Amino acid sequence: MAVAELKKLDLYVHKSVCDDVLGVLQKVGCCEIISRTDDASREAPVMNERLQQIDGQISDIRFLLRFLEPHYKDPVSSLDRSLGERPIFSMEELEKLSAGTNVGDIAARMHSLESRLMAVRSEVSQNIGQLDLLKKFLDFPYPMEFLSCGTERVRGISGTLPVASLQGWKNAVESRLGKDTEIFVARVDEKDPDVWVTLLYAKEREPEAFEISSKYSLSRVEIPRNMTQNASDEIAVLKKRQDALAAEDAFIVRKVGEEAEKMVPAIRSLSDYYSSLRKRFEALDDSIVTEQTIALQAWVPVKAVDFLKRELLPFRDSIEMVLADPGEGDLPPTLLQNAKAALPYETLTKLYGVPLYGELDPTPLLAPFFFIYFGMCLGDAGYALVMIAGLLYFLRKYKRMPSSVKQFMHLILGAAVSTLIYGALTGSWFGDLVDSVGFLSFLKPIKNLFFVIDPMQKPMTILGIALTFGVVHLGFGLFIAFYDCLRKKDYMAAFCDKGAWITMLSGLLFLLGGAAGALPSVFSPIGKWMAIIGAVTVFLYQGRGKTGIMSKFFSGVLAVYGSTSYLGDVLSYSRLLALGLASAAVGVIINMLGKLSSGIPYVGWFVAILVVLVGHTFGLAVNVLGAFVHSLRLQYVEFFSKFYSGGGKFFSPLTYSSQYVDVTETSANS
Amino acid sequence: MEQYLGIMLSVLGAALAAGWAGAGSAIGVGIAGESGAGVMTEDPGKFGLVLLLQALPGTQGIYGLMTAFLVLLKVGLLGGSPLAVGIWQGLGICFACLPVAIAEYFSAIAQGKTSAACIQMIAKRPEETGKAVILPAMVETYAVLALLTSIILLNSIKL
Amino acid sequence: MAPAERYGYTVARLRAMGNRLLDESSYQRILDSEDLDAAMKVLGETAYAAWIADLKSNREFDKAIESELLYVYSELQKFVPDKRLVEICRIPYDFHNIKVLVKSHILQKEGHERRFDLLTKLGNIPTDDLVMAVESEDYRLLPYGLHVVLPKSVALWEQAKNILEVEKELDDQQYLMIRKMGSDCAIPSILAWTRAKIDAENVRNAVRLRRIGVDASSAESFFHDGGYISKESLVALLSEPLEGWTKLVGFTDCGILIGELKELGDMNHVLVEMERVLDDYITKVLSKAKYGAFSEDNIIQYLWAKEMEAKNVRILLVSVANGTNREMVRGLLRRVQ
Repeated sequence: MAVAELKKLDLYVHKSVCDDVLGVLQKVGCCEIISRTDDASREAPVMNERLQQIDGQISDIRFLLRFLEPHYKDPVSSLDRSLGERPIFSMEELEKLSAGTNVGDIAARMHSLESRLMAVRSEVSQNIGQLDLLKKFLDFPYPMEFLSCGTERVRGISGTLPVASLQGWKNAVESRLGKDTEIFVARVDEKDPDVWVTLLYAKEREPEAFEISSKYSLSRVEIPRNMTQNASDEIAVLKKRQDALAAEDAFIVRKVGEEAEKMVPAIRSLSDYYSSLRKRFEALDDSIVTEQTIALQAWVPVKAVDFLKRELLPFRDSIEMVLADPGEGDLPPTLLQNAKAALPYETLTKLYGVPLYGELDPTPLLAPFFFIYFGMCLGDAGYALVMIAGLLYFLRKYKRMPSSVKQFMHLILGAAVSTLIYGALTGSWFGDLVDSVGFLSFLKPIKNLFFVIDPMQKPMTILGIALTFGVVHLGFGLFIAFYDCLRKKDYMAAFCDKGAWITMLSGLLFLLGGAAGALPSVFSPIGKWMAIIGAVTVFLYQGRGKTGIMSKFFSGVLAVYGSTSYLGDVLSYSRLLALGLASAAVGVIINMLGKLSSGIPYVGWFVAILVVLVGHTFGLAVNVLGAFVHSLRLQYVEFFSKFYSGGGKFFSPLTYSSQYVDVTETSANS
Repeated sequence: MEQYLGIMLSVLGAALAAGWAGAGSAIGVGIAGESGAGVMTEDPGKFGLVLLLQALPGTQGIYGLMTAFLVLLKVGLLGGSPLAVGIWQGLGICFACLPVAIAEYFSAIAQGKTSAACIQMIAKRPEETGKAVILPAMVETYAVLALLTSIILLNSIKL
Repeated sequence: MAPAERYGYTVARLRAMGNRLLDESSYQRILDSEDLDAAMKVLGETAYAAWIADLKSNREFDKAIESELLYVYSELQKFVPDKRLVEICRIPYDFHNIKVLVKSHILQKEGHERRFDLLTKLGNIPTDDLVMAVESEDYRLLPYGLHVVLPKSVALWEQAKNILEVEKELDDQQYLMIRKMGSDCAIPSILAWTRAKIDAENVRNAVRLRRIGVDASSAESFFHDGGYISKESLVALLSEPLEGWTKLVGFTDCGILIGELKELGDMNHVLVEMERVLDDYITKVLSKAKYGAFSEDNIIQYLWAKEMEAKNVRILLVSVANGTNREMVRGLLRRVQ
């Protein structure tokens, strides 16, 4: 139980073997490279060129994946993939693959396909607009040429005019331009406030035509210059063009689909390959490079040191290793190290934030409480059985899942076991399914075998248990804080702060217990004195740092008053009862609804089964979420506030990147 | 007349509890859902996380339903024959439902806002999901406490 | 005012969109590119990719940037509950277009070619309508008080033939509109933003006036009302050396920034530096928006961030294309968030 001890590794590598050594470091995956980018003595990065080259490859790969993936039907579902079902490659195989694939060429080819596709699609939408426009001119008896660019003598404009000003415009045109014009008005649609009009006029009268039209607010529509024939002919030409374009579109899409089918798996593997290489050379970027050597700094767990030394043995002539303990100004990352039983609970610590290096690891401390609380909050043995079955299925099916997912599943599995126990003790199996459904009554003896207490009937008992857990949990938290102060040899804080609080609060407890008759009456006076001594110590200790009698007094009083927050903390544990009751009650309600619906003639049994199935699925989902969140909250808010602050940086060693494939050590399957 | 008044008061209590709590949850889930839709328009991959956070203000409705259910069970309106409930007892049951009716309504809305803000947070920092789930749960404490109060009050009324 | 929660969707979506703004490392990679083609390739991995494919040559990157901005503006216009907030951000583009049109109108009268290529589609008023209005000299239907100001500025030109006067007139109207629309929204944070924006413009003008050596007596009309710094203080700045400016207006947030400027010697340099500092100032004013999960200023903040991103991309691409000194370019980059 604790935060793993780290060593600071200074590694000096001769340039000739630099790549190989970095490869080994990445392979063993237990060194976090310390970035020295702000180091003033750093010279211009020599390897930057290679990094840039890789960046170029990665940017091509990203484009390819973005472009091709939507066309690729993945034989492995994304769920399977994220649960570890992915191809395994060794670095050597990937290297061969990369040598045989010219990513740049493929990208260039796809780029040209993409821009062709874009061009086709934009032309299609442009044509649709032109077709719409042309449809308005089907009644127009002359070639479009008049309107688009005009002939030697005749020109025209076209556009929409408000229906109200149509007559005025017509009159004005006729009176001003007389014989030199011809007007076409499309059929007036009742609903449309505007009408489509076309005006042809002799070329020399253009200014007048414009003037009149703008006066009657004709909004002019440009006719593209390439339209010269009759509207219906133009439409025919365009439609033909549209067909050709659609065919080309389909052709390109099919081709892209084929390419995707062929290429995506390889591109994905290469994506991981280049990202891994990138990480490796980034490490170089983080180190000091001189003419002949490269000086790396890294954090290595003490336990991995021997292994690392063995792996680096072949290079012993060209490297120099110096190991040291973390120094004053160092900020080592945190690597958690826990026994197998507590391992799944590391997820919870990471969720909150890992401890600083050298601080306590709260994982094993919170583990038993989380286990119990989750059980009490969910509290239904039936749900627990469903969860256990589901989780076991997944754990069996996916052997290679990433460790974080695996840990989380184990965490929930443990929580489900706890739920099973608590549910059995309180006799809750899918609510009261066993009691309410006639044909399940043969299960009653089994249920009764474990049955101890029904929270619905005796909520106060469970409330008492819940609050007791609260007292124990908080007390435990205080004791850890006490121990932590002792460990750091801060005796003053240990006894005057944490110790005093413990004395005062347990004194209050004794007092209360004695008064309520739960404890023998001797505890009352003992408790009274303990509480007084504790309070006085807290009062004096908190006031010591302040100057002036008044501020000493007030900060002391405030500190003692802070004890009320413990009352709130303890009451917060009542949620254990409330959530447990809620899930049981929801189960009962679902069963009752099922029972009511079974009264429907003929189809009743079917509806009842449906209601019970859907209802319990819903209940399971909502209650698991609630149970998880609330038992976690009790750890984070009530428990951690007593002794833990997090704030560490998680240990992130140099490893392979494995988004799409698993990169293994040297050729495992070759 | 009088023998019904007691039981009707209990029904009123149950109705208030389920009604207000449900209304609060609906508003809360709605607020969170709007934010969720906003994030998902840009980033559909966050559906799982968003759904999780959106569901959080929904528990208040369940607490309300549960309280109503407990009341109905207590006065024998569900399965079995109604018990004789006096006016004062009925009034007591009605009052006992008020903590749920009030606190669930407001806490669900407040939790909805917190959830919405947390959904925005995971849009920016998906790695902080753990914290994003805890923040709305802080609000729920008071919903849980109200539920507990109602349960204890109901339990203390003897029929 | 409607309940604040109606911004839940909007703000959440903006947060997600904000995630896709280019970060430092992207800028760095663009800057590190060998040539424009390589830089465009880097840009092709970002949101700009969609527009790059449409370009005929990489030299036209300005078009891609404008398309991206236009896309963002029209997208926001679709889902932001209060459209005025987007509108107000597009106002400067309207006035840019007007200036282009008025100038080209003048040029045309003097027998030069019209410059419609300088028009931007980013304004609120469709460019076609604007062109139509100016061409036909029919200003009746133009919004933003242009129906009065446009004929007035054309008349101004006819009288005085001084393009500066015309620009001043239009600028005045622009900031009047921004101020008016800002106060119409009745949202304190938006109001604060408009005031900061006016301050920034005023200080920028002060530096410009200083550079061309306008004396204090005739300067007052170049400043706009509504900022935190009064017109009198601004006029007083002009008779003071740059080093003394902080003392005079240092009581405002904007004034403090003047103190950040180094090397006050070369006025051209100061002006360039000042532009950056003032942009960063607006960014800072708007950065408070991130604390409001339902507040309206997030919209302004996002749009401003996008504008700054576009500006940065433009600076980077221009400098890569021209091979400008990289260190200097890095100093010009705006903070985005």
